Amino acid sequence: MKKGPMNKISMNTLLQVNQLSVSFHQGQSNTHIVKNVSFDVYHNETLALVGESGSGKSLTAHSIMRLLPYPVAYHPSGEILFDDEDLLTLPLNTMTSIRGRKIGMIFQEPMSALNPLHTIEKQIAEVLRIHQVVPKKHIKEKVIELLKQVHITDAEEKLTSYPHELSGGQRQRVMIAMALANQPELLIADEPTTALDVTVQKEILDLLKELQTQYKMSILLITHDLGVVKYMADRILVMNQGEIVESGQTQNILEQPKNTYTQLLIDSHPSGEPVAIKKQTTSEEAVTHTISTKSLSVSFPKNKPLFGRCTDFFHALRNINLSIESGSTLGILGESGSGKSTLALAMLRLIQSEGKILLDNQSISDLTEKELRPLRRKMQMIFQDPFASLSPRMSVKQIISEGLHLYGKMDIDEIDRKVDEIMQEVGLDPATKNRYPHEFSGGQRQRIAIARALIINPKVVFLDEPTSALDRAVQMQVIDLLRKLQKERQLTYVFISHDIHVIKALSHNIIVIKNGEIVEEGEAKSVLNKPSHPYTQQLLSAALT
Amino acid sequence: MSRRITNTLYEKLSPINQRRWDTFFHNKRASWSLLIFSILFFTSLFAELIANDKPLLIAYDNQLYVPVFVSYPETTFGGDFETEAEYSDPFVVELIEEKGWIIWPLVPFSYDTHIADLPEPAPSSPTAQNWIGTDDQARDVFARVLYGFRISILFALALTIGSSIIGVAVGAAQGFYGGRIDLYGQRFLEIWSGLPQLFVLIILASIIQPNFWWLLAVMLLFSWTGLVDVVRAEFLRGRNLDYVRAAKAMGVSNTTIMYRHILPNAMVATMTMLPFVLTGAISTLTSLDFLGFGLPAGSASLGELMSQGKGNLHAPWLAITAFMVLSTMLTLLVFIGEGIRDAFDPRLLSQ
Repeated sequence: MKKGPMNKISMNTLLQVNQLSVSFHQGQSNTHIVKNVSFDVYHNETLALVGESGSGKSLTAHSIMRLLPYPVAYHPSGEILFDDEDLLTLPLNTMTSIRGRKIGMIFQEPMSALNPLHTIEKQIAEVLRIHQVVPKKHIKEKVIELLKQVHITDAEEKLTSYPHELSGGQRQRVMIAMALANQPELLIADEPTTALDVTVQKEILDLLKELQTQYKMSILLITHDLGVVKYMADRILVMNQGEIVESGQTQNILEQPKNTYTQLLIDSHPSGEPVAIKKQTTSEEAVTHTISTKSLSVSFPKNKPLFGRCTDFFHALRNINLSIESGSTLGILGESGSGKSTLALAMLRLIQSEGKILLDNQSISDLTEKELRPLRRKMQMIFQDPFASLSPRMSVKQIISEGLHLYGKMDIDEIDRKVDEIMQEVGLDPATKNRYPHEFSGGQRQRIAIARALIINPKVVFLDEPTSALDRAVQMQVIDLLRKLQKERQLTYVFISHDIHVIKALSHNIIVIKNGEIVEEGEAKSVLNKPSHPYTQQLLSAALT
Repeated sequence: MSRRITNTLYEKLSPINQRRWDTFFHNKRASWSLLIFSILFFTSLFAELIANDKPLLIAYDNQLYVPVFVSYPETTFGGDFETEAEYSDPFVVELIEEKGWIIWPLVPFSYDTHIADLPEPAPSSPTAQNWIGTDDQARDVFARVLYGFRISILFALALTIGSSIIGVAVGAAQGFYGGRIDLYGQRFLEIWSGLPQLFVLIILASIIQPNFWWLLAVMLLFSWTGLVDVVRAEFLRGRNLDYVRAAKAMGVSNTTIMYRHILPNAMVATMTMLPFVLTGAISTLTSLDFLGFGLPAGSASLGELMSQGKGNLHAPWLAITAFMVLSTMLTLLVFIGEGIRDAFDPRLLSQ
C-alpha cells in the first residue's frame, strides 16, 4: 500500500466509490441518472450490483473504467478511489495503464465485444503486449495457458479461430481470458451470462468462481438476475433509479429484505399455476385440438446453386408431431438455436415447411397465400422484442386497429370504441392511443403487441419469448395478463421460452426441443418434476433459483 | 403569419419527424442554404416578370394592357402590323408613350432577346444596362442565367422525382419478393447500368431534335437505377422485421405491407440520397448542354453559357458567371443535402 495523502482506504478495501453521480447533457437540460452513490469493494469478494434496466447500475460500473461517452456524460460529484488515487481525475495515459492491467472488464454480448476481424490469439495477445507484463517471446505460451485456464478445449487449435467460429459460451470464455490476462485486482462483469443459455450460464459462473480463488481478485458483478446473485455474490447493492436503496450480505438481503423495492424484486419471481382448462367432457375423443402438426419439417439449403437442385440441406426441424388442446398452453422449451422459434414461424406459415399443419381440423399447409389470408385471423403471434415488433412510424391506435381494417368494414367510431376496449382489457390507458411506440416502456409495448393480436379475436396465440426482454417485475405482470386473457377468451397459447420458471407458470403441456427434434413431451408437471431425457435433466439442474 | 403556418405544420409531424426538423434547423449551414436556395428558386419561378422584353403593364388610351400574359397586335397601339407588337422597337414605344405610359420589368430583356444597339460588338462587357454583359449573340447574360437557373432546377426536380418513383418501385419489388425476381432484376440492372449513357444520347440527338421532355425521358432511362440498390437493401432487411412478420401473420396483403410498413423505413435512405441525385442531374444537364447535345439551340442554359465562356476567353464575364452560378447552386444543394442526411441519420436519435 502506498502512502498517499488521502489515506482513507482501509487495509481490506480495494476500491472506494464516494458520492458518485453521473449526469448527461441532453440538449438544453441535463438528466441526472446516478445520484450520490457510495460503496466499497473489498479484497477477494464478489459484490453484486442489482437493479432493473435503467437503474444506473451499468453507468456506475462504467464510470470506474471511465468508459462513459464523455463529455456528453459528466460527473457532478464524486470520487472513485483505487490505489489511493481518484480514477475520475487521473490523466488519460495513467488511466489506460489501469484499464486491462489492474481492472478488467467483461461484457454482456461477447459477439460484439470481440473484434470479428482478428483471431483469438491476436486479441488476447494485444492485451498482454500493451501492458508489457510478459516478455514478447512468451506471449504465445501465455495465451495458450490463459485459454487452458478458462477451459477451452484444444487451446492450440483455437488460437487461429475467429470469434464467429466459436459458440457463445466459448466467446465469453475468451473475453474472460482477455480480462484476466494481466491478473487484474478487480474484475467488472457486466451481465456476463445474460446472453447465454442456462447450461452455459452455470459453466461460466463456475469458471468465474474458480478463477477468483486462483487469482485472489474481487469481482463487481452487475446483473438483474437474482438467481445469479444468490449463486455468486458475497454482498449485494440494490440500485433503483440511480440510488442505492439497500446493501448488505447476500443471504440477509435475500431472506429479510427491508426495502420495499428489494422485496418487490425478490417477490417478482414467475410463479403461479396455469389456468385450469375448462373440460367440456371427460371422454378422450371429444377433446378438440385447435392446432396440430404431422411430421412437420423445415430445412434450409446450405448452398444454393444457380442451376440444378440443391442437395445439401440444414435441417432446422425434423418430424415434429404435436397437437394442442383448445384453451390450453403448450410450452416449448429449448436453448438458442434449437429451432423453437422456427417451429412457431412454420406453424404460422410464415416460412416454408414440409408436412401437414391442421387448424381446426382443416389442413392449412397446402393453401396458397391468398386462400390462407382469411384464416390468418385465427392465429396471431407476439414477439420477443417489443421494441422491434411495433412499427416506430405508426401511432398506437394505427398499430392496434390495423387488423380491424382487414376483416370487414367499420366506421371510425366503432374502430375507436374497439381500440379503447382492447386497450383497457390489456391494461393500457386509452387516452394514450395517439402516441408513438417509443414513448412507452418495454412492458407497455408488449401490452400493445398483445392488444394488436387480440383485437381480431384469434384462437391461437404464438408467444415467442414474450417476457425475455423485460425486467422481472414487468415479466410477472405480463404473465398475469396472459393468464387472465386465456381464462376470459379461452385462448390457446403456444408459449416459447428458454426460461423454465416462465414456462412453468403458464404451460399445461411441455415439449422440449433440441437440435430441431422433440426430445421429451408430456404434461408440464411430469416433465418438470420427473424429467426422463438426460437433456431435460441437464436443463433443469442448470437453472438457478 | 408564416411562423404560425410552420408551427401548425410542425405539430402535424410525427415525433420522429419533429426531431428531424429540429436537427435540420439546428444546422446553421443547412438552414441558411435552404433559405437562400428557396429565395433564388422562388424568384426564378417569376423570371418572366423580372427579365422580359415585354412590358409588365401598358396604359394606352385609358386602357390597361398586360403584354407579359396577353399578346396584342401592333395595331392595338396604332401601328401598322397585325403581328404582335415588338416592344423593343423604339417606334412602338414612341407610339404608346404618346397616349399613355409603360412599366418595364427590372431587366428589359428576355433570355432570347437580341439587343440591337450595343455600344461594342458582342459579347459586350458589363454595363448599367447589361449587368453582367452580353453573350456572343448579343443576349443579356443576366436574363439567360435567370432562365437557365430555373430550367436546370426544374429539370433536375422532374428527373429526381421520376427516377425515385421508378427506382423505389423496382427496388421494393426486388427486395420484398427476393428470390428469382431479385436475381434476374439485379442481373438486368448490371447490364443496364453498363450501357454508355452519353453515347445513347449522342445517337438519339442525331435522330431526333432533343427538347426538354425528350431529354428528361432519355436521362430517366438511366438515372432510375441509382436508388434501386438502396431501396432493395432496405426492403431485404425490412421484410424480416418483427412488425412486418406480425402484419403478415395478421393477413395484411403484400402491397399494404410494402407501402405501410417497410416503405417509410426505405424512405429514410431515399431521402438522404435525393439531394445528391438532384445535384447529379444538374451537372449532367449542364455537361450535355456544354457538349451541345442538350437542350435545343437558343434555349437558356448554363452549359451553353459555359461553352460560350470557353469560346470567348476575351470575355471573362461569361465563364466567371457560369462558374459562379453553377458552383453556388451545387454548393447550396450539397449543404442542404448534408443537413437532410444528418437529420435522417438514425444514430442521432439515440443522443
